Amino acid sequence: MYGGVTGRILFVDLTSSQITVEKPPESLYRDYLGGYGLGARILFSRLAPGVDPLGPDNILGFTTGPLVGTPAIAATRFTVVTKSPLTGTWGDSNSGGYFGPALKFAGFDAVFISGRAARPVYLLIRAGRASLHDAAHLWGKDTNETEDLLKEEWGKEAQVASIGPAGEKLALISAIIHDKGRAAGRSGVGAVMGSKNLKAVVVAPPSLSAGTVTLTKSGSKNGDPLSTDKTSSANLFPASGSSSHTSSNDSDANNSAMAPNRSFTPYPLADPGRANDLRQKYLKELNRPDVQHFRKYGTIDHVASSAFSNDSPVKNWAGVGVIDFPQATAISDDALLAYQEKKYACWRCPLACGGIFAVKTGPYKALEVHKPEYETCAMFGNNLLNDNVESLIKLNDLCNRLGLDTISAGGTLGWAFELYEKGLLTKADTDGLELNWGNHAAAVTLTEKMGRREGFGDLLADGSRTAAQRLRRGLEYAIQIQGQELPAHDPKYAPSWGLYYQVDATPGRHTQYGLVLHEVRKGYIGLDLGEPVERYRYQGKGRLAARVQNLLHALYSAGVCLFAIQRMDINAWPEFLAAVTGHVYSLADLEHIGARIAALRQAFNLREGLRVTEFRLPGRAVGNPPLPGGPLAGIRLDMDTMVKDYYQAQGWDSATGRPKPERLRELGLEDVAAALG
Amino acid sequence: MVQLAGSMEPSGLPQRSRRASCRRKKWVNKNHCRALNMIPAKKGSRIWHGIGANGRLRVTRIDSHGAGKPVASGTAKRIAQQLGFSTTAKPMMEPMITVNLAGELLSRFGKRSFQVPWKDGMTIAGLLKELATRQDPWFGKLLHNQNDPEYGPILVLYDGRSLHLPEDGDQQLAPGDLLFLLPPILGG
Repeated sequence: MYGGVTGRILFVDLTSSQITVEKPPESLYRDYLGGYGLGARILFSRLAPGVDPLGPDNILGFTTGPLVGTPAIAATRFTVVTKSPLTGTWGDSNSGGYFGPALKFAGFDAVFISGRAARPVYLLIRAGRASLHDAAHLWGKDTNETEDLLKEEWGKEAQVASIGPAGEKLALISAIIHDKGRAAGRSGVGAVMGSKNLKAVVVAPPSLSAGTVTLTKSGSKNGDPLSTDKTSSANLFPASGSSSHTSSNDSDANNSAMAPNRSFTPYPLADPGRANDLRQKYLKELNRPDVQHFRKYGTIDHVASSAFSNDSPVKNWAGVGVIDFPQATAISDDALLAYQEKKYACWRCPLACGGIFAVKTGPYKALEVHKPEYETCAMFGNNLLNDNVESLIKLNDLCNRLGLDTISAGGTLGWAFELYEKGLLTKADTDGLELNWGNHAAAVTLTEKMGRREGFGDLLADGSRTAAQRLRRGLEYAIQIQGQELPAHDPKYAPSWGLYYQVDATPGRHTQYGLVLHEVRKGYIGLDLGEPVERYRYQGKGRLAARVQNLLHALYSAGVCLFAIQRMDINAWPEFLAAVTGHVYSLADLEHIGARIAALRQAFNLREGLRVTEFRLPGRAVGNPPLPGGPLAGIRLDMDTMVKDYYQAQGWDSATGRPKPERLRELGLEDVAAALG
Repeated sequence: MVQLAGSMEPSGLPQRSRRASCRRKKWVNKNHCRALNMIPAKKGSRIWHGIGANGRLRVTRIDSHGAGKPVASGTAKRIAQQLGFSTTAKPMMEPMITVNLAGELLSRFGKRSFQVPWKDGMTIAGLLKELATRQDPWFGKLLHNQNDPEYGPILVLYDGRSLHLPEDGDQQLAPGDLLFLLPPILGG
């Protein structure tokens, strides 16, 4: 038995409205855990190469992991997987909140959706069953409105992942939003959902608190087809559900759904007592000052310091923080925290790094909105020289409502602002907006237009690369790789970031973090790489970067949040996995699983005919030309050495990036070797 | 042309009232000059200069204003006037060095910045030693090892560039300078 999983995966074909449940072999979980590992395995097997990412043949998956919805700390993540319409590569994007645990409570480890509905629909998953429902009344609504309406129908405990107008209009930088502000933002996953006419996925508790809807035998209030699975679904949700989204204190005791000894999982754990003991053990370790600091601020603690150290892009990656944006403290840490009304925590997460904000008056009034994360503040703030803190809160909420990725939206605005500065765009192009650096009002207006594909916003809604290509100018100022805007961490600050931006199967992703912690700090607690890591020593870096990234591939696939991985002993995760699944994994085992996942994602791209070795970071990101001043002045990265080492360590051909046949066999991927020919 | 302020524009001096004339006389000191954004002509010099109220260069000598003429003590405004500065000159206050903190240091020290009175000839090393004495020994340790055992390497940013300690500890500081102490960015 493999514990911690429901053993059931839902498949939905929107074209035929057919819904089926499969019970995969235990080896799928053992070898891929879950998350994008499981997603890559299923998409590689079931997705034909060359499909149109926005066509009915593409598959969109929502996956969890074996640790999600268990006592494991911060195991809250769900990962959306698909072929990305933004990059044409493997695409994945993950989010926290409550949706992942709720999906497992509802009886599924993952949901894969193919086809295209004839009319807008939403998918309801409830008590081990699923059904499709008309979403005509939701189409055109923003994600907040959508969530409110669906909770009216299915109860306030229902967890919703939906798209906004941006996803409906197939904006390639659109996101899937859960809980009004938790985003699976990257890779254009929102557009794939929109292309399927799928407005939302709703996971509802078995007993309807709304009490106004009676399910028919087919489980639907409108007669849509149901799951063929007949599994009983009683008591899948905890008695008090997951309603306590806000937290002023993050101890377990404050959330009745989180009582450590409560049996809250509808799926067996190998050793629930041990899992709960481990939780208590590691919770005690999270009382350190650095964790308390993170609990207070979350990621916004370093908006200013990232600007001053030039970790953050400033002025579309061409500026120097201490020179061009010395007022960065106005949009950082305490300046932002002044707007916090209450804390927000993902399901059972003791880190509780989120917050609920309010701007009570003024042009950027926004009530009961999520705290903007660092990436959002940096991309709309530092990158645009925008020091108006209230506009950042508004922009964040606007992106959440419209269903836009804040990183790509901010990056694309940076591109437009620079073109305007250089005279490559004029007011005649921008609907009369003056895109001067720091013009927060223009940023807000243009973001709204982007999310609704109105006027000049239509040009920007597919990201900076596509906009430059359509405009036939300014491509050199688009800070992107394969069409995806770079996140707000400059590789010149930590070169491993640049390596991952370039070599990962989803290019330009800051959550592919790997060796960065060893470059900037002491590394992961409990992880000894056997040799020191120097920030600007390139020889051998790729090899270590591959090792750590593989480990993180496995942990992400298990459903763990990066912020917990950064702050907890790395040995906690094999311990939790053993207690939850019943299988003993060493760190080396997890590295091996991660290597399998990395190879499979890479093979996905190669099978699509992509020349992965030609993916290149823009010059500004690697110091070509170097920054003229500031702490990163003169730094130019040796990407070639890092990439070569990385490929070699992964067992991939350095000329093509292709995993070598013997490496694929070693990883148990014989079928992949055969598919690549 | 540089002339001593006191002798250059006596007409600029306020009319001494009977009451003022009874005031205790005192010599100009460095703090008076710093408050008026005056700086020493060279390191250690007793001659200080700055731009006065009329936009012209004003010069004074520490301890002996003008031709050995003392100024009347009184408010900052009065002293500023006697030195030829605007009556709306900045209030008399000590020139400071500001040390800005970020990241986890915000929580450690419970504040965003420290201000330390600038001293003639003050260096980065001197500043950190003073902070170690006044605030927390942590600053003294930083001088010898930027790679903090708790936070990792601390970026010490001065004048737009990163410093390497202890090698750059001799870096001279000027009044009003900013120093950033930035712990590593963990990302997010």
